This record gives sequence, structure tokens and C-alpha cells, in this order.
Amino acid sequence: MHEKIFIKVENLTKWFDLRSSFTEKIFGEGERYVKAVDGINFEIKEGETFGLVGESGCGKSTAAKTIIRLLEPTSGSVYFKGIDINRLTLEEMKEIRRHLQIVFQDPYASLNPRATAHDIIAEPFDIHGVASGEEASYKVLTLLKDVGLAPHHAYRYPHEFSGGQRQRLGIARALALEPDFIVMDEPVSNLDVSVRAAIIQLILELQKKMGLTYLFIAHDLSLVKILCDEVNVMYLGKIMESGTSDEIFESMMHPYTKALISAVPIADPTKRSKKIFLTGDIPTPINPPPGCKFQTRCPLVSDICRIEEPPARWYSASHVAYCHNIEGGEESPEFYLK
Amino acid sequence: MGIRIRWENFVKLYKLAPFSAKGNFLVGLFFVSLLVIFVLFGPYIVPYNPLTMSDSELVPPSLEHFMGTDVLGRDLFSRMVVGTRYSLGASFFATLIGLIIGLLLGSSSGFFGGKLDRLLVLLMDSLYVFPNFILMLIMAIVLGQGIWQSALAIAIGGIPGRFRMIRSLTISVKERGFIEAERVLGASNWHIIRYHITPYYLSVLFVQLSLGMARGSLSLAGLGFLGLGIPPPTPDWGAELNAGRPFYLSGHWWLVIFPGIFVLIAMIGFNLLSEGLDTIMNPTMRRLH
Amino acid sequence: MSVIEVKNLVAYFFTPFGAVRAVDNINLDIKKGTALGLAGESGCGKTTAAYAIMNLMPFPGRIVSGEVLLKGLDIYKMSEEDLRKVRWKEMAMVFQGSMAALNPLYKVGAQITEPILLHEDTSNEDAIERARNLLELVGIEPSRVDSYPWELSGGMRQRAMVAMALACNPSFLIADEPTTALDVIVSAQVMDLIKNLRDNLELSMMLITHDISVIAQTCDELAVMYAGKIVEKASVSEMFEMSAHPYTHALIKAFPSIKGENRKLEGIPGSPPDLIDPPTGCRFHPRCPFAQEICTLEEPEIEVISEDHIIACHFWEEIDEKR
Repeated sequence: MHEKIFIKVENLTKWFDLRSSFTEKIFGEGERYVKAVDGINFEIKEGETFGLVGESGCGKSTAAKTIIRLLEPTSGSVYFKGIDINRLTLEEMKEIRRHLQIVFQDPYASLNPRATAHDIIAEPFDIHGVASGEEASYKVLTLLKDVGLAPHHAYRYPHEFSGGQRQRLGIARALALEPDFIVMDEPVSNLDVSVRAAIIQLILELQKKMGLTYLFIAHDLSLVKILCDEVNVMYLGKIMESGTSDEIFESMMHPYTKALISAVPIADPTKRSKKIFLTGDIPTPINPPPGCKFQTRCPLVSDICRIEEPPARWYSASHVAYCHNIEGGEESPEFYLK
Repeated sequence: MGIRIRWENFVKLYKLAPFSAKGNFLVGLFFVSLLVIFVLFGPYIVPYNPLTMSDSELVPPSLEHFMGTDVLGRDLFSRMVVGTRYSLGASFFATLIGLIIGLLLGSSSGFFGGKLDRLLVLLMDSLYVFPNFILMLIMAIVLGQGIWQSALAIAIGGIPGRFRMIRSLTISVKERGFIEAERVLGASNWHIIRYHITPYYLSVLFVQLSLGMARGSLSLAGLGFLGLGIPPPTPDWGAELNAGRPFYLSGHWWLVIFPGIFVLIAMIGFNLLSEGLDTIMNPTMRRLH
Repeated sequence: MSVIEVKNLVAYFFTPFGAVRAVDNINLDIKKGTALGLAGESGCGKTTAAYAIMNLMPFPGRIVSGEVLLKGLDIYKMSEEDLRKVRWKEMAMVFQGSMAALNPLYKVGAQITEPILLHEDTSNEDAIERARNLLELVGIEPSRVDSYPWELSGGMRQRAMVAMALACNPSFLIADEPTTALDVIVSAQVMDLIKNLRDNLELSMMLITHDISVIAQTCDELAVMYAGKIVEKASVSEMFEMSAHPYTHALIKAFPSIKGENRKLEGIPGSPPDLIDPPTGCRFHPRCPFAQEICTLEEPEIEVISEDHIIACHFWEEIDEKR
């Protein structure tokens, strides 16, 4: 199994400084940071669909944006095909941007309401000097076809499309520069139920056709189960558990993962699953306490959880959970690679 | 891809506008057009040379002199019409300068934020707190009498307000989702400002321009009234008002009323035009799906 | 005993573009202590149905015809005075996007006691005591009566809205998309709350949502709405086992299961119809895989399959056999 490692994220953190003014920095009560992403590590292999799940506020969107350097990381590194993208100059970064794209959650907000579909898709060509005039228009029409829209859609404005069509437009724009890697930030959450399937299908087809690698972010776990090869569960800026889709959904180990999955309602009244309820509410990511992030709500919490960060427990070469109080597991994945 | 002012869009918006907005727009347009005609053709259409003094001093309005004559025997009507050129001209110049500077400062401040922003906001807010007219007055006193000086004074008075408006507009557009998308595509700051933020400025430009003219006319008249502003013998509405003031109580009403009417026409015309334009171009009614 | 009976309810929005036929002849019967789930895509008229039942139609909407009986009394025939007494005391609603429905200037406790003090003759202290109990009932710490809405998380605000709705012990509660904006764990808590309310307080409820799985887990009955009409209605168990309407099938298939085999996600082609000019005949025909000519001409009548199970489709028997 020597698949190429496409994206490697190492100890990535993104903190937002809450102290807004200069004076507050001097006279304030000390540091106040929103630690949206607090040290995450993972590797995304070429061609796979890598899932990042968690509740709102867990930092998944922030993580995704930091990975493609839409936000500057506070510390840590992101390697794209071995290149540390945070050390690149603006020029070099602009070139790399062609390989890393994103599809946003809200199809309406991410499209310029004053531009036609044609202009929206052609703009990346303009920015990078790839094509112009007739050549650009030709490419635009091809892209429209790729995402299931018709040529006459090219001269419409975003508000003249339905939600699903707008998302297709967003996908077409992301494909314009022929990227290798696309972040899908909750691509169907804002869409009507009946439309989701079509968009998901499109996303899968495009992946096969163009050999794309996806980072798929969602809070809808049932979608993630269908789509993702690998799944990472995030909570308050850290990864709680990571593994293949089967490992996470069938043999999950972490108490948070268990609670999360048990809470998903099943469209079958005969299967009323036993839900694991967590006490309390999600704490704020501002200056979190030391130790495990999950300590305030965990059913298995003990003293050590409040002091030390949880160790990694490996259940297979790909399946790892970070917890003090669960059984089994090895200290490193090496054990399984023999 | 660029900024194109599409006339079809305007016509479309115009048709959708409520009746009152259209009315405002058209009435305003009428008045403003009248004034523009005066500006362009003033000297050619007036019966008398505005500077020619005569012996028929302080003559009330008659067939010979529509608006009477002033204390030096100059035909008031001719002076008013030709004066439009200077009064409106100064206003226009003032408004334009104020807008441009406000735009430059406001957009940089809004877009780049940081220390520059904080500094500018501090500066502008301090100026903004000053009663606007007092500010202009001080500038006019500092700069002295004269058409360019007055225009500059009025321009400076208008900068803080414009700065604020452009800055908040910039910030609100900057935060919108599609700007983020542009960054991912690799667009530079310059590209984003030029192609994506500027269109929003354009849509407020026309309204701000006409609104500024209204304000400017009034301010200029005020300055002229106080003896600053445009120096004699150049005809200027405010100066005429000032000159006519001592004669008002002795029954020579036309010296004050007619300049006042011109200022009024300018004010009403530009205000209505800008209101109508604003309502037409920025439809806030939500379309029912 | 029926708490709410909706008979032939028709409610339209009269816009400059035409009449939007949001609710076009629906019939419902909610018995005491039962929860009815009203499901459908956005724009099918379910929220309008809720407003119509509460007699709260916003302009330019109007009730065109029909009756809504609250414990036997026709709501539409009541005077403004009586209606006010009924609102919140007998019928209450938890609105969609309720996070925004809380007034940020007032403490949560004050917003809960407001209807109490308005409708009943109690002292301030008693009202606050009740507010504390209500918060506890919905799973919020009673001390939060003194918190402002912005101090609570999204899930807590949603539950606070439920507490507010329960303030005067209504017999009937409408919840419009109570879990839509919430994360899955918080959503599960809210669903659990709803179930408890139904079981312990014998509260009758109408739960509006586009997420069928929520209804599957919390409700007794399910009514599926499409383009202003109810296309199928049955008990939840019967519906998931033996539903016969193609739209109901499609809705169920649109929600992949987290347990079990990896079912493929199946969507519904096309988009919800224009309610000003809905399709002729059966309104679902443009998107129905089984549509025949008669579907474009005649609206299907409501047929009774069994007790509690009604359906409006020309070909349900054939479709049912093919399953």
C-alpha cells in the first residue's frame, strides 16, 4: 500500500486572537484566543475522499480553509505533494492555488450576484491568464456540460438558478483550473433534500472522471458514510478518532464518536436506537482547559483527562482513537504494518 | 469581464420602480436639466450682460427685467442664470473631490483594515463630529475667498461622511462569500477591488453625486451669504443673497427671494433626483417567488 | 378525543403575480396525546398550514375556506377576544429559526413569564417559579432564567422556545422544523424532549419537518404534503412498512441510513412546482416515475386503504404490488 500521500497536515493550529484593540493587548487580562483548530494531524491519499465530521463549532470549516491557505495557520505545516505551502511566496502560492480548490456550503453567497454564469466560471482563466475570449468561452461551455448545466445557462445570473443549479455552478468554477484537490465544505447541506442525491452523484462522477481527491466536510453522518473512504471526527479543534468509513461507523471506539453516531435519527420507526446522551453543552473554544477537549461532557471522564492530553490508541493501521479511558489498542500503527 | 454600465439594466430597474420614485426622478431631472442648460448656455441666453452696471438701480421685477435689478443696476435674472455656472460648478468640483478622496480613503481603510484603518477612522470621526458647516467655515476662512478655495472647503467638509459610507460598504462587500471564493481562485487584492467591489461603488456613485450637489449648493450659498465664497463681481447665488440682505427690509424683496429660489431649485432638484435614483437603482422590495 | 380537527382547509397567498395555492384542501385529525408529523420539501405548504391552523396567516395570505376545530370549537368563527384567549393557552407554536425569535433585549425568564402573566392571574414570583420549572422540563438549568438569549447556545435557545410555548400548558403544540438548524446530538436531545412531552404531559403535537427520520423517531402519525395537498397519511409504523405513494417512497429513499447496508442516495428529479400555477391533475405527475396520462388530467381522489391510512394516487395498488 504505497499510495501517494497528497496532503499531509502536521500539527496544524489556527487560533483567532480575540483581543481586538492594541490597548487591550497591553492592558487586557491576558491571552484570549479562540482555538478553532488546535493541533491536527492527518494524511490524505491521492484519489480518496477524506471525510471530516463534527458538530458546528468543532473547527472543521476552519481547518479546511487553513489547509488550502485561505486562512494563515497559527502554527504547523501543510504539505501538498511534499511542498510546504505556507513557506511559498505569493507568486508561488498563486500557482499552487490552481491545484487546490473549494466548493462552498452556501451556493448563493459564494457566487457574485452581479456576474453571469459565464463570467463566474471564466474568471479563473482571467486571473491566471489561462485562456481568454473564444477559447475561454469554449472551456466554459465544456465545464457547464460537465456539471450538468446547459449552454443557455451561461448568460444567466445566480439568482435565476435554483439552489441545486447554483451549486453546480460553484463546482464548475472549482473545476475551471483543473485542480487535483477539492475541499467540499458541506456541499449539500443548504440544498433541498430531493436535490442532494443529484449533486452527490455529480461529485462522485467527477471524481472518477477527473481523478480528483476530496476533503469532504459534513455534519450529516449518513452522507459521510456513503461517500468517504476515511473519516476523521473532530471536536473543539482536535481529532478524536480517525479511521476508514467502516471502522468509524461499525467499530467506533471513542465515546464522542459513539454519542454522535447514536444520535443520528434512523428513517425507520422500528429501529429506535439507544441514544447516548452527553451532559452539558458544547463549551466554547476560547481558552480551553488543559487535557482532553472532551472532558466536560464525556461519560468516561476521569481525573487524568483534565490534566494530560489523551494518548493515541491504534486499533488497526488506519484506525486510531485518542482517549485515556478506552480499552485495547496499540501505541503506534507500526504494530499492524508487519 | 469588466465593469459595464448596462443601460438595459437601468431601464429594467426603472420600470420596476414605484410611481413615487419615478416621479421624484423625473421632477428632479427636469430641474437639474434646467440648471444644466443654464450652466452650458447661460451667457448666451440671458438678455443682459450680468456684469454691466446701469442706471436703473433697484428696479423691481418688470417686463424689461424679469427679476429686477440689483443695487448696481445689473439685471438680476442674467446674474442668476450665469451665476449657475459658478455656483453649480463650484459645487460640482467640491462634490467630485470629496467623493474621490472619500472613495480612496474609505476603500483602502475598509479593505485593508489594520492600523491604517484605525488611524483613518480616528481622524475621520474627529472631523465628522465637528458641525459640518463650522468645519467648512473654518476651512474657508483659512483658505480665503475665491471659487477654488470655497470648493475645496466644501470638499473637505464632505470627506468624513463619504469616507464612512464607502468604508462600511467596502467592509460589507468584502465579507461576502464570493470574495472568499475569489481568493481561493488566486485573485489578487487589486483584482478583487477592481472587478468585484467597485461595481458596488458605482451603484451609489450617481446618487452620492447628486446628493452632494444639493448639499454643496446650499453650503456654497451659506458661505457666500457670510461673505466668504466666490468674490464679486462674479455672480453667485449666495453672494447675491448677501448683497441683497440690507435692502430686504426696505421693500426690495426680489434681491433676496430670487437667489433663494435658485438655491431652492438646485436643492430640490438634486434631492429629488437622488432620491428617485436611489429608489430605482436599489430596489429593496423583495421579489415574491 | 380529537384535539385539533382540520377540515377542508384552503389557504392562499394573494400576490400581484397571482394566488399562491399554498394549502389546497387538507384534512387532519390529531387526537389527544399523539404527535403528527407533517413532512414535505420546502415550499410544499407545511409552514403555511401551521400558520393557517393558528389563524396567524401573514399578509398577503388569507384563509379561503375550511374549518379548524380546537376541541370542537371553530377557530375561524371566534371573535378576536376569544382568539387571543385561545392563543398560547390552548395552542402554541415553536417557530422555524426560533433562535432569531427570541428578543435579545430581554432575559429568557422574562420572555417565558410574559405569556403567563398575560393570560393568567398570577403573581410575578409564581410566574418566575413556573418559568424555572419549565426550563428544567426542557433540560436547561433553572438558573438560566436570568440569562439573555445570546448567552445560550443554539440548542438551548431552541429548547427555551419550547419552554416558552409550554408556558400556559397548551393542549396543542406546533413545532416548525425544530431540529433543522441544530447539530445531531443537540437535535437528538430536542427530539427526546418532544417525545417526553408527548408521553408525560399528554401533549398533542404537530411536528413539521422535511427530515423524515426525525418523524420516524418521534411521531405517531405521518402526513406527507406535496404542493399544498396531503398525498398520504398513515401511522408511522404503517407508513414506513407499507407506504404506497411514489412521493413518500422518494422521500424515504432520500435519507440514507446510518446503520446497515450502504444504500445509494436517491433523489427526486425536477423541482417543487410553482404554486401559483401548479401542474394539472395530480400535482406530482411531472416528477413521478409512474405517471400515466390520467395523472395529468384528473386529480386523484383520497382513498382509504385501511383505518388511519389514506392516500391520493391513481395507481397506488399497482405500485404497491410491484414493491
